[in-house]
Amino acid sequence: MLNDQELIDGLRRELADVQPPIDLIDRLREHSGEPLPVPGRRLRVPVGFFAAAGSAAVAIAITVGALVFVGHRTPTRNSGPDVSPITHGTGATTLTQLTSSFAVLRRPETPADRALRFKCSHPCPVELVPGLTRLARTLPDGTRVFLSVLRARTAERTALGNTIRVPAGSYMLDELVVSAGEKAILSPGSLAQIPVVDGGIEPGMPSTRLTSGRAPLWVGVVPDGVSSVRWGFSCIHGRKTAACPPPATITATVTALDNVAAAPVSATRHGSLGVTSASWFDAARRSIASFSTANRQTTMRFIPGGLVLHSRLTFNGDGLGPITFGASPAQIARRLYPILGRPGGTYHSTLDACGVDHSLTWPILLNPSTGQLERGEELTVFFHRDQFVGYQYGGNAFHPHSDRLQVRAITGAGLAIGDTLATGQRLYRHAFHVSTAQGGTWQASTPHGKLTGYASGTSTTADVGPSSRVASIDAGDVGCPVSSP
Amino acid sequence: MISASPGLLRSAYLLTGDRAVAEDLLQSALLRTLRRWDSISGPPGAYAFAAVVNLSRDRYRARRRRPAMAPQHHALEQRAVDQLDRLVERDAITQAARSLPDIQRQVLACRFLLDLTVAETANALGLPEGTVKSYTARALARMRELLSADPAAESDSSEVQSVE
Repeated sequence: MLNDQELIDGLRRELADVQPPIDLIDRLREHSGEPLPVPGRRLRVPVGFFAAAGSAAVAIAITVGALVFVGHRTPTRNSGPDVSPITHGTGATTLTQLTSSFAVLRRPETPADRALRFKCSHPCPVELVPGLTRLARTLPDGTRVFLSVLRARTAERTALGNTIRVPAGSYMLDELVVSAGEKAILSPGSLAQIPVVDGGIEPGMPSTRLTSGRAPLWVGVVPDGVSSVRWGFSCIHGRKTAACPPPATITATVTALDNVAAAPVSATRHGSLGVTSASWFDAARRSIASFSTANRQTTMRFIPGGLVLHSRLTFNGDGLGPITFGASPAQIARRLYPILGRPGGTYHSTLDACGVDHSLTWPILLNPSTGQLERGEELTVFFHRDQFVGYQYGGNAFHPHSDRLQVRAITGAGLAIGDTLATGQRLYRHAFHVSTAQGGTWQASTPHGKLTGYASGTSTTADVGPSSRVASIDAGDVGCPVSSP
Repeated sequence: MISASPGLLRSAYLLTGDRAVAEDLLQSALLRTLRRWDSISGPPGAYAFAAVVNLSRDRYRARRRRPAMAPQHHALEQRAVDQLDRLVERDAITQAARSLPDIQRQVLACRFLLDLTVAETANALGLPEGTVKSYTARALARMRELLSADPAAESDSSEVQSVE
């Protein structure tokens, strides 16, 4: 016969594996704009319930307040790529947040990525997430910068003498800088393994790699949408000494590529100049975020879904966002890079038919439901004689929750993949037409040209209706598909 | 609030007996709590628990108005049951708790899954403190009876004792 305490302990033990999903807060964030399940009903909470408020509640309020109010911003339309990727808090970082914020993680894995080896003695506080290591950059001198996703096994870990509070199960992005000729070995706890995103010692700050006889290399990791960074260096501890002669403060502006900003800064060679500030800028040179050692935090996290709302790509009848038909492949790659990262392949020839002879494709590999990487929707940009002539977004897959993808891609009027045709009708009114051709297609006439696409749920022609959903968005010449529904 | 989520989820599971439904209830309850954040003066965890209780009641009423779901194919169902046998055996105490009246389950959840005090439980559920104590005692006694009557649970309980 069990006594009371044994019963209670047994109940707790049996329910111990009932844990909330790690992306619960993400989902809350995503649903925060929706109406309550039972609108207008009052929550039935006894009056006496609101009695005591302790210090714990205050602490909780600060944390959740940071999540909800700092993290929540209303998206602005047609404002170009914009990011607001991080804030300080104590929650876990999910894999979805990382993969949705760093385009380099979303591109297909290559053999060069697999050159990194992970070594960690037992008991290892972290584990390497398979398939999510990327050789992000190879610098002109042969130095390689790897980014790896790690998952914390225990609630906190130690690096460089600092205890970093990381919730168990939280994911983090680590950088590994490898000189030319060296083997790429990621060993948690080593100097090279500095947590740069989650649990950052100095959030947003670059780390340095001292190289004999050369200027120290500074490397920073930045999320999508950051085109350049500006780092400020000052005499360490603010002291001007013989080793730190005037000018005691310098700044370096560095272009970011593939989520990495890296540059040697010769003025820091003597080791007496340390980085004290960092600023991130988008492609339009607008300041996105700034960091200072004066307000450093021991933990940081991503705003859930922040980039979903802020990194935007507008589909127009005459082009993509600010890029109109007629642009060159180089112009396309340069303008889309801050939003989508590098294309998934090279500029390659396609079957010369229906006004198209070359294409570039950006694969969007993130499954929005699971956060796992798999082939999903993609954006293909078509060219004819080296001129941008059309695009197709959606590819072969359809996700009912595609708005969780890392790029909030919509038409100028606000139509997105996954929206119902009824929504299209509401947005475009008489300019919106639906056809049963090719299993179901839609078309919207705009002042800037015609948008077309497939509709989902159309295995039979009878299925096409207001509840069918937008499965792809095309404009211009895209080979020989939807353009004539 | 994040730290209270596991306890809230377990409470929701205890009330509904369905993990997926419990997660849905938790999400809705936290959402309600966050939206009312400015007006909450008591422990947010207790507020969220009250929301879980209310939502589970709403769900129960809604289910009564809906037709039952179509049964699964027998073979598939049987296979699933076979695979779950071991889990069910390990789940004896939870099952015993699940058989208690709603109010007693709510008291157990508040007291032992959310670690609320008797006073906080009384406030959260709108009960006198004495009633909370008596419900707790009755619930534990009833669970003990159920487990004693169940041979499978008896073997499980001996395991519990040996572990302890």
